[in-house]
Amino acid sequence: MSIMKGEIAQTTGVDWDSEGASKSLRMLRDGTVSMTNWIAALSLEGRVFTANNGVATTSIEFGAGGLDTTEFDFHIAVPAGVAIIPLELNIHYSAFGTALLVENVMQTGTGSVTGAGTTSVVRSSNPNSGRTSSCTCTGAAVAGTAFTANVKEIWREIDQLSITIATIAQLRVPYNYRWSALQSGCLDVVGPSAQLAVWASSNAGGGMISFKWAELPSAALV
Amino acid sequence: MAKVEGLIKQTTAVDRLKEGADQYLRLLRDGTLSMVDWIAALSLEGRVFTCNAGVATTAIAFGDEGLDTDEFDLFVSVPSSVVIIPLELNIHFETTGTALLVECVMQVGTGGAANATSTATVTRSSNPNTGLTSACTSVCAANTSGTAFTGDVKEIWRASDQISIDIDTIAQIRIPYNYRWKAMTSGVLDVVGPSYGLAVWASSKTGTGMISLKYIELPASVMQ
Repeated sequence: MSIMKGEIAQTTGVDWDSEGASKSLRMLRDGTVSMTNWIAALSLEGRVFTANNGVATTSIEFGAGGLDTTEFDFHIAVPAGVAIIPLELNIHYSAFGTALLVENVMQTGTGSVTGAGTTSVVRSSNPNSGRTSSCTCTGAAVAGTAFTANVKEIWREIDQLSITIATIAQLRVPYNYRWSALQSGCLDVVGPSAQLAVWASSNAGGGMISFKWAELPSAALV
Repeated sequence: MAKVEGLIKQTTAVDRLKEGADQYLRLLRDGTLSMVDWIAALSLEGRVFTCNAGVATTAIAFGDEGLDTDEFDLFVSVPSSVVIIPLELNIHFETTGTALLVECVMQVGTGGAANATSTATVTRSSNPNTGLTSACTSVCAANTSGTAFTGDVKEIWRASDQISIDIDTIAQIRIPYNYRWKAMTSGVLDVVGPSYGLAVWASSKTGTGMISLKYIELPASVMQ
């Protein structure tokens, strides 16, 4: 039976070696192994991307008058050759319009085509890696083509009635809707040649949508 | 005494080899070990399934007038060859009807069966590239009686609201519309099957909405 050991690197013993070199496991002085989760490792590799639709003081318009499956508030087309794993979605409402059901939905599927919209700003988790996303991201789109097959609804959050408040006496509704893959632990692989769509549906909503995902060669996920 | 070493694969040296090949431990440049959670590994393997009862703009009708143990709003029948581990349940009420107790419940047990007129659900793998499909049969929106559980009943989760009603003005007080359960919150994993059922109720006066369930599915032999 062999006893395994690493190397104590808690404070002064820490060194950062080159890519591809052999290395002992990093340990604290009591033998505890230093660990990082896989998604954090992908982040350092530069393979996690953030798409911003609306930033700072610039909102985008969400689809008005209820959820329309052909009008995407955010759409990612995943091409052949890569697959993505959704990690985080944040929807922020600056306004809702008048009273109507609020539906926040994320779906994946195939056959969808986005209508014209605004190009999302997409950034890598580690710009030093030089990696860029192969996906095409669009926000605030006009009517296109709905999913035609393989539809999977990954997340939904609703509010029965929502309205832009005008006085402090009015009851507040949620303005920030958030989903995180890490909270459930389930990872969904999307693609190659598939799409992901987000709706932020109310009467006449506007705000921001940000989305984070890991992107890998599809060969690594088959 | 063996000293454990890996290879530094933080940015440019990362490689992804073929199935079954030997591979070195992945380390960051300071020697930190990269780990993946078991459920995430099963997700990539395609063994986590999402079952949707109602999607997009199509809601299903939940059982009305209170919880009826033989009318299931979602029922998963686990056959003799597999077991499942529930991971996540989401219930969304678009309407609840007039004032009545709201009860959201998930149970497992044996001997239960959904009525044949129930609606089939859509079930998808976490990684469609693997080609794995679920061996379970899932139905929803049973509005006529089937058979209630007869043995081994375990109630895994419950959330309730004492009274609920569809709001029609902004001045009315809001109640929850989204009820969520996640196994990761407690860390407890419940193995269901083989030859079991999993049932979900989303009970109110006259509710409508959507239910989604995520679960791991494995051959029964690996859990015995």
